[in-house]
Amino acid sequence: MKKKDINKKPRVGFFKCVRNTIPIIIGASPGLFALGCVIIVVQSILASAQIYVLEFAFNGVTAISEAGGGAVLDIVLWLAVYAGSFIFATILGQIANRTDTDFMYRAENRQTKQRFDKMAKLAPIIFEDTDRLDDIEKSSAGADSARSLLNTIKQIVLYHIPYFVVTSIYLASRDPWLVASLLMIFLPTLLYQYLVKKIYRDKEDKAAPDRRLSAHYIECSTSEKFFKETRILGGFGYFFRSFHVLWARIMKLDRSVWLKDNWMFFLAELLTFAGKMGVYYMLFRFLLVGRITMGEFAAVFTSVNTIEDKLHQLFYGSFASASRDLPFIENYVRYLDFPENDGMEVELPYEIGIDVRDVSFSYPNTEEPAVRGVTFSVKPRETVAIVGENGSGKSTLIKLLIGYYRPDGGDVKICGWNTKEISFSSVARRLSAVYQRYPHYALTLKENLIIGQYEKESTDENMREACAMAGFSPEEEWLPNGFDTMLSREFDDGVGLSGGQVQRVSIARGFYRDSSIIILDEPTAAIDPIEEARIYGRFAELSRDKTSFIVTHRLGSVRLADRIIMMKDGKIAETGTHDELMAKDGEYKKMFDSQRQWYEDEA
Amino acid sequence: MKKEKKLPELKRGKWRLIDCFLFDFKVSPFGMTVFILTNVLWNALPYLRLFTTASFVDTALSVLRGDSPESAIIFPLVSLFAVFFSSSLLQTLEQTVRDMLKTKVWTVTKEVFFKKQASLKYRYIEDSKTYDLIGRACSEPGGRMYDRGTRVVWMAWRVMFIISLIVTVFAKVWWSGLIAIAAAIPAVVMAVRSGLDDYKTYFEVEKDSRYADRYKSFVMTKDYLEERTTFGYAPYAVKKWREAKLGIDKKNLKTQVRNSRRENIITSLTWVMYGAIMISLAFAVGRGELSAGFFIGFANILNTLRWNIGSGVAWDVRWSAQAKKNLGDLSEFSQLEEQEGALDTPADMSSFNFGKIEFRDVSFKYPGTDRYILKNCSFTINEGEHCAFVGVNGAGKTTITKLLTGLYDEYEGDITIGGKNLRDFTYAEIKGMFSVVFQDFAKYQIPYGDAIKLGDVNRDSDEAVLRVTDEIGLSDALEKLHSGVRTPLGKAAEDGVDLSGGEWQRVAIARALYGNRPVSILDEPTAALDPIAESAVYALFKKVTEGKSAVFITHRLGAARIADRILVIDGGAVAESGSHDELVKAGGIYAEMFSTQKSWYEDAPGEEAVS
Repeated sequence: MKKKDINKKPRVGFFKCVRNTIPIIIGASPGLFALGCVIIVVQSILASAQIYVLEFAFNGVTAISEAGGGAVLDIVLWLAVYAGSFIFATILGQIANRTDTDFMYRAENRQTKQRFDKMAKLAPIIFEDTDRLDDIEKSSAGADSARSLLNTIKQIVLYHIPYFVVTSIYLASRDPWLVASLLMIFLPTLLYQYLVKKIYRDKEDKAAPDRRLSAHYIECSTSEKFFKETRILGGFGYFFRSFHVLWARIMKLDRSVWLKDNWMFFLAELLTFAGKMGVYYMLFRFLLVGRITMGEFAAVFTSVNTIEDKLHQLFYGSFASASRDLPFIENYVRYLDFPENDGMEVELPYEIGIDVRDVSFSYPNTEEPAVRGVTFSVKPRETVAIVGENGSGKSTLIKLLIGYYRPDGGDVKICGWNTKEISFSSVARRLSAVYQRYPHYALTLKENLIIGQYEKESTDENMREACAMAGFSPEEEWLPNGFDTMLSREFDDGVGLSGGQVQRVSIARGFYRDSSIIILDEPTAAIDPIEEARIYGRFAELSRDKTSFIVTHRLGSVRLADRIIMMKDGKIAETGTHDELMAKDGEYKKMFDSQRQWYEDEA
Repeated sequence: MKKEKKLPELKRGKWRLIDCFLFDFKVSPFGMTVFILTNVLWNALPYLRLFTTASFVDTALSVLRGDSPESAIIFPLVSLFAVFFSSSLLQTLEQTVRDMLKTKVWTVTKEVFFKKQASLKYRYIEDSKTYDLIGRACSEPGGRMYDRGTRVVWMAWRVMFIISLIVTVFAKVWWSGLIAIAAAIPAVVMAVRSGLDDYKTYFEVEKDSRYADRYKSFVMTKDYLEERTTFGYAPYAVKKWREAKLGIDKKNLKTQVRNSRRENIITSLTWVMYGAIMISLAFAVGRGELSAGFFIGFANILNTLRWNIGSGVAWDVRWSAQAKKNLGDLSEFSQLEEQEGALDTPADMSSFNFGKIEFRDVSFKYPGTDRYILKNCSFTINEGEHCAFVGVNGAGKTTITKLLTGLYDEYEGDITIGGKNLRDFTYAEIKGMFSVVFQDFAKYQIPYGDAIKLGDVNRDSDEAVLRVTDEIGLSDALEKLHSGVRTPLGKAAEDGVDLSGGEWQRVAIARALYGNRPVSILDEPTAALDPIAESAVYALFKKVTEGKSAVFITHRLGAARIADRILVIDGGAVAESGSHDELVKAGGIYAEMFSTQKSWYEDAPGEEAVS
């Protein structure tokens, strides 16, 4: 019950973000990417060339109105060029769109593949670190953002910069003073953009906790976890009022921010407006004194809005999206940098013995060690039960034994191999397990089984056998399509399973896998006692020629073990057979008796 | 309850975009009206710009020719500036109005949806299909409602703009108007088609994506970590994901290519239209029917027209098509039935002497399923009695609780409390009758005191909170909280403190205790507890319900023994009923189950000899 300290994660700089993500994306298809780049440059040139075309067209129009006809064909020609260049640009745009989409799909798939591969190389312990978990969860959004950033960079470098350069050259060639007109439009927008971003950032920092809490209030009377209890308690009013008050506060903060934003926007608009006024007046003066022609005047005059649009695109579109993307990319880059499992791949013998020497272990960001100074060894084919209260370190110890976690202190040796030196997958090839937090897969029953060992050929027989071990058959459980029944109502014709059924499927999966070590980590919580007894019975039978572990807090079921290890506060409190431990009259007996008392005849 | 403004009703039935607009209008008539007005003004601006631009250019030309003095430019220049200035002003104004509207619509919509969601019949929550639907319909409802309402106005604006501009062109040079119409109609038709295609593909792909995403989550999320690393199925899942994903990409790309082609045609068409109109206007300039200023002015405004026909309409259509999906969810959501009295606070039933609760031939199957969970189930629970329901998983123990507490009422047969049919009680009365500690009890992340007071929302007594805290054995835990009863629990609040599993459970029981209802129900609390904690919970519950009616639901028979009477549920009905001793003597299902469990704790004959 200590307050968690919020340690900031290391920042990743912009250039690292680019360096570590962009090559993967471009590598998905350098050809398509290059094609996209070429097209965008052409588009940029076409866009900036339009000011030239306009100049000629308008020169023609003024010539007509001065001279009263004659050069109409000229205008038609220039207008045709003008419209034609746009059509060309559009068609190019559509081609770009198509190649870009194709490219993006490929890049996404490549990135995803890379993230998947990375995942396979991560040590499980990384998932116990909440900061890292956050990076993992956001790495998907980060990968999307990295693509979006590449696009933004492409847009800025290959479209906007050439556009502004060409336009500036045009303006400078007509009159150097005209370049100033660009600046007059540019500066206010830049200033506004800078100021506004700061306000929003400050606000988000302030509002985020309130938002989270307000979402919880809604959850408290609408989500499955809370719904029935809140309804029966009549607690809606409480949560609604709490939400109302909090939300009003969030909105008040919101209002103060957008009011400020709108004011600044207005001021920036005024400045831009003044800038434009300056530009128009300058144009008029230049026209009067003959520094520019009528065509130049009209071309610049009509282009002012286009230039403004492009600037807005650059600032409100490109820069804004890049700054939105960057934090996610940081998650992504950090994820790609996670340390990888470095163990050797070794071929373990079929019969597994384990030696544990003075092993200690703490989870990341915790002070209390979960396991401390544990020493024992397990012979091949031995059945060991690990018992103890909740939080006594049973499950952690199991995971240390099989090299899933590596100890902070001491050594675990599996058939002589130190788990610090070999990969977990070396052990996993010999291992099957039913874990306490077994997941449910929205797949067919068949797939639910075969992912236990996909390399093995599945037959009706071996699937049936695994199910029988877990105490069911597709027919008994009313599965309409037998092994091909989809076990999730999310999908067509799928059936929903009860908690007990899900648990049995996961036990069947554990039994489906060929193994020489097997673990049952309290897998029977949702199963009734008679079934539980049967499952343990079958487990004992099955595990006779395997090294096996049972983790449980229900002591009645551990007597079939060759040895019982009683854990308390991360240490081994007692060890021995059931009878030995009962004779000792210690922790184990205390626990056993507390459970047995329910079944004793009336005292 | 405090005085609260009445929330608008969520229309039941089919939702269209226009309904969203009407909803927004109902929420904020003033905001919406001002928003529409600013848009009407906004609509007029391009015309003002056309005229001022024309007069500026023409005057400039005439000054240039020496026909007018230089000072003649002042008025056109000033009016041009005035138009620009009012455009800036209007833009800011519109933004402010929109922000105002947004705040209002967000807040009210969120509350309306919140309320509707909380009032739904419980069966929708347990059915994953409807539960997902609710989740989809209620994600960001405020933002969506606001977007749609304002978008409707914008779309109307676009239509008005296009029509009025074509009319204007028509008035200047009639056959230019015809060109505009000739180009606009096919462009719009094609835009609509593209939008519909998008929509169709989206639907096709959405299902495939859900398929693919499963495999992705198997590889990427922590939930699957242990099995993923042990079974090493990642390559299999990646392969499956890739197959599905490539199929999706292909479908998407196909639609995109087809739509690209259409868009090419649309854009070319609108550019041809633009060029043709400009040329026709150039001829008009040549004939002296149109000034050069107007020509330049038209160059600007027609470009806007071209964009609106070419891209604007396509956008609208695509956006509407995409909105359709969520509108479908919304329509379905709005038609989900509400539970009468769902939100009521419990009535005071503390002095209600119910005598007995009786189930008579009750049969029940979950809505949408065929299997009867309860079949002709009959039993009675007497006031002041401790009853235990036992039975294997899926036997229907928990279902009985759900029927009693009114969560489901689609049962056959009769349930009576004190002779009165359960269906004749108000929901407030039912709530006042039961307190339930569910197996998956709620962990409310609110201040400790509030979490307990929720047990009886009609009473606010810190003293009682401390009393039950003491009784339930949470005093030590409470002392460690930094702000006493005002300390938020869990991690939702920044200064929240998380409790251990056992402590959370005690908070749930303390809540029931604070509620002091005539009947307490304890639903299988032991799944995640170790034996010592398990014994403690049963003993505790027995103690705090002493002298009151209580129902225990369990499959651990040892625990059932503390009850006065045990009811064995089998095959959807009560198979046996009696005290522990009676049932053991009877030698039925209970006796068998009990001896199986007991045998685990008895010394085996062989071992007996050793010890």
